[in-house]
Amino acid sequence: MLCVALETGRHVVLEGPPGTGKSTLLRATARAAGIGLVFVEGNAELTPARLLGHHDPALVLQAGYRPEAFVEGPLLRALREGMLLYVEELNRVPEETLNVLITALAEGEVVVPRVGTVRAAPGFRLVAAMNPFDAVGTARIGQAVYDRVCRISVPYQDEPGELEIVRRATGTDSPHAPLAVAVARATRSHPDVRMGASVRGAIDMVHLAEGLKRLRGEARASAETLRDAALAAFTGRIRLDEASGRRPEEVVIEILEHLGDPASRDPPRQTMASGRVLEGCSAARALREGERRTLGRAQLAAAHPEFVHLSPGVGQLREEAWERFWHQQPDRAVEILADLAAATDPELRRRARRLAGRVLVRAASCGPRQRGYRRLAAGEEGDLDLERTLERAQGRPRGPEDLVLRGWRSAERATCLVIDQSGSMRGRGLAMAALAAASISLAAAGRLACSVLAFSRNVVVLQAQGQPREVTALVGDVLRLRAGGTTDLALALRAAAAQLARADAAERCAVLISDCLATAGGDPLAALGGIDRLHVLGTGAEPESVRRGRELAARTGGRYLEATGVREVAAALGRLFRPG
Amino acid sequence: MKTKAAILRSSGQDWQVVELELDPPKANEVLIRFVAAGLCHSDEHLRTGDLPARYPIVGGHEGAGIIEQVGPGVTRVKPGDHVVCSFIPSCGRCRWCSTGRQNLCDLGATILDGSLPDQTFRFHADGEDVGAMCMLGTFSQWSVISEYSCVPVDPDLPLEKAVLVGCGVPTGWGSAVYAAGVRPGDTVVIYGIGGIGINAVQGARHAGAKNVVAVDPVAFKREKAEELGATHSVASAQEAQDLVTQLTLGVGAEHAIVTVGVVGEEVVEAAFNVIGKGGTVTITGLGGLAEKTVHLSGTILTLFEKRVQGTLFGSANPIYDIRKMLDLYRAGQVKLDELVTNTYRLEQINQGYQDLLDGKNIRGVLIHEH
Ligand SMILES: NC(=O)c1ccc[n+]([C@@H]2O[C@H](COP(=O)([O-])OP(=O)(O)OC[C@H]3O[C@@H](n4cnc5c(N)ncnc54)[C@H](O)[C@@H]3O)[C@@H](O)[C@H]2O)c1
Ligand SMILES: [Zn+2]
Ligand SMILES: [Zn+2]
Repeated sequence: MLCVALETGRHVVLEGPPGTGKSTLLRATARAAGIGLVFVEGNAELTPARLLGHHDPALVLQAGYRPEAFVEGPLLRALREGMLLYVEELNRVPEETLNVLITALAEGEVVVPRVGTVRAAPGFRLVAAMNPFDAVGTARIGQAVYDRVCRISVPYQDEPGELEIVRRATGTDSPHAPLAVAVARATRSHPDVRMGASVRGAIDMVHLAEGLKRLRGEARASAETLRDAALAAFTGRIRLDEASGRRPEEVVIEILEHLGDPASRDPPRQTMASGRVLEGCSAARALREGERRTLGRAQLAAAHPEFVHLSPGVGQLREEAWERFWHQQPDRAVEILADLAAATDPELRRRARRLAGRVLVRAASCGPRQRGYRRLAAGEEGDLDLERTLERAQGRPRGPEDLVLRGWRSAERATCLVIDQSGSMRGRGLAMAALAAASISLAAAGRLACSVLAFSRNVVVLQAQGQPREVTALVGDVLRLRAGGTTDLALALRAAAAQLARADAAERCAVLISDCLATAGGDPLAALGGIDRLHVLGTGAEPESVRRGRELAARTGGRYLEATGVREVAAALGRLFRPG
Repeated sequence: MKTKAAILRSSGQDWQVVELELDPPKANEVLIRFVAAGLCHSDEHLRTGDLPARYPIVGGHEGAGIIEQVGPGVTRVKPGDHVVCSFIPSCGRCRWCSTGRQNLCDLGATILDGSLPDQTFRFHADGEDVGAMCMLGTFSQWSVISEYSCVPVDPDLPLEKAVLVGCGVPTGWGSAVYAAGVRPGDTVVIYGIGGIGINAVQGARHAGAKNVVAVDPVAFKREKAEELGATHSVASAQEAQDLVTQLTLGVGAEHAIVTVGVVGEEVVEAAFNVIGKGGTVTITGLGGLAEKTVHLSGTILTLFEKRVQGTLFGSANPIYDIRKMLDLYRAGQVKLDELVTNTYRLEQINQGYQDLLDGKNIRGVLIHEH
């Protein structure tokens, strides 16, 4: 399949879990066909400049933008010379770089500033590999890419096939190979495992078991030895579903125990976690179910004396009247608006949501924002933005403080906003949460750096890490939440860690907006793994609520701020996200 | 005034969209502008002749609209009111209305003639009187109806959804909750998942049934039934029988509700067999008027104390229950949005009924243009 695709000049994406021999396959095919191969490892540091090429700063400063000053990147080389460009782990490549690749595929040429247009020589092809189980950024490799490439799926081999690989790789006919392969395979279907182990895990287990057996002078490997070998070979390789709250050791031991009992070889049963993490379709369904309960005009009028003034008739919303109200009493105003956004009247609901989106986004934008360009600070990484550096220093940069750095390094900080949706969060709470979502999403400036979750008994993923949404749509979804249910804070924090784990960032930070009184699930203090810093916007006034919130924040060196109203939330987030 | 309407000139023909002359309202009558009309199987019975009506007749008995004008003496509604129509008027005075059985109101006598309570007609075509199905004729842009057919509803409810509570929702929901009287823990089998059956599913679920078994040959209907609260769904009566035997350890269901499009002997017998001792068959669906569709062993009926009953409008009270259904919708308990599968323009009415017969719709809804 791959040979044919390459021969007919197709671009290809190889999809398969790691360890299924994608690169081996490609190397062999390229060699056999006599095609040149340029190899690029895909990761978050693969910037457009690194893919295309860049001007050598020293040469440019000396002699200006001359062709000799340009250092060609792998994409240009492959284009010019009509070679195969192999990008591994395509899903980890930053958005901007992906766009460059798509342009090259779509147009058969790329335009490089000050270098000109480079057309693809015949023979240029892209082969990209990606691991569909890798949660990092897989989703955004969307239609644009799939439209232009053939997709070849490289699945795991079958059991005899894997056994053969292990035998060849270890060069022995070890009696432990079948067990090792069985463990590797079991990790792939275990309910708590997000990404199972490749055949490399099995190979390592065999090596380790043989080595340990010799070391311990055992004639036949003891259960102890096999367990130690399996733990060492597999615990680092598997990725658990963070929401399961389990550790890799537990899972590997469970699998071993299970395999030791040949009577039952079906996959182990799922451990019952109380709530669930809902993402994608199931999140949409949960939102839809929640927003079914709506408020009639009579109910709205009974709850808010201002209602008839703000909405004198069906389908009407007097926006200027509301804006005046908002300037006088912002908290009452958003509280009403949140209720109007839940009106039975579809037109009123639509208008209220639109107004809320606009106002909250506006309120959130007043806070300071992260800029796309920063000056270089000592020890930082990133691509030098030559043009802006020269511009700023009038052609003569003198020291590092004059260099302008393009913040390509995916994100300095990944943030996950965690919204408590349990019983206590109504009207005002919801509005504060919506504002917080807007602020954080704006601070991330459309980059892949923030996620938003809401939780009560279950966790609903409103925005997944690495899949930015339009801010007003996000705010709209927060307003669709309906308060109710128990508070499983521990589950929410684990789900936040799971989201943050998908980001490639120096600091993983969560912002919790809650009264911090958990009524379900485990101890939240024990669920902070994977979160570098947790800031708490406390919505509860009782001493117990404040104490717990402070304790949570303090545990990670985060801050506790009281969220008493929308203005306060805006200010608090401004303080948290002020650069520097 | 003039109005465009879909009429039947005789049984066995397609719907024809024509322009009719509409008289102004007389005493206790109102002029209504219909916003939406539901496509119920009962109008299809009119077309096939299962229900012998007086032709020509304007179709449609599920409707919602806005009152434009009222005749002398009208007290129930005023111009501008949003109204969901009841396909049985309720006068509040007759023997049935005054004993809490408003669904059997004596004013319903002319629902198949389509004349108003004074026995005269408001629609005319070239001088000929044209009736209105259930005294409503909701397949017309405008109609003149009795004030007793009107149930005013809150204006913030979307009429193109609320229209379903004119017939399908209360009939189905009431068949389970009121007529059958499903109780917590019961096992209920519902035959036929159209606009009526799907609401019997919702009702049985609300009443606390342990097992709600939906029976329909169409896969899409079975999926919808499960989405709206069925615990099980099967394609045939035989599968239902096997499933219920297994679920109840041979005891049988407490209730069977028959809501198929055209009721025949077979489905009634299946329903009779699926219930256990002391169980009840509730027949909501209609068949040919002259046909004998209930053929059962009377001795089994006696020995097992089984009961077989019919129900009109789900034995619900139009004035109270139409509003109650909407309150439940507001509270997120009764689902309406999911019931509207397709919407049609008046001119597409025959397409709408073809889709009903092809099993494509839970409910199709006509949206009127003015
Ligand atoms: N009693 C009342 O007050 C009242 C009110 C309204 C409608 N009705 C009657 O209720 C019936 C249902 O109306 P509707 O609008 O829901 O019809 P519909 O056509 O929308 O739905 C009927 C469903 O029954 C299914 N079906 C047909 N034969 C079946 C069988 N043998 N077993 C199982 N399923 C079968 C069809 O696939 C379809 O899904 C009609 O006869 C209608 O006239 C009665
Ligand atoms: Zn009907
Ligand atoms: Zn009456």
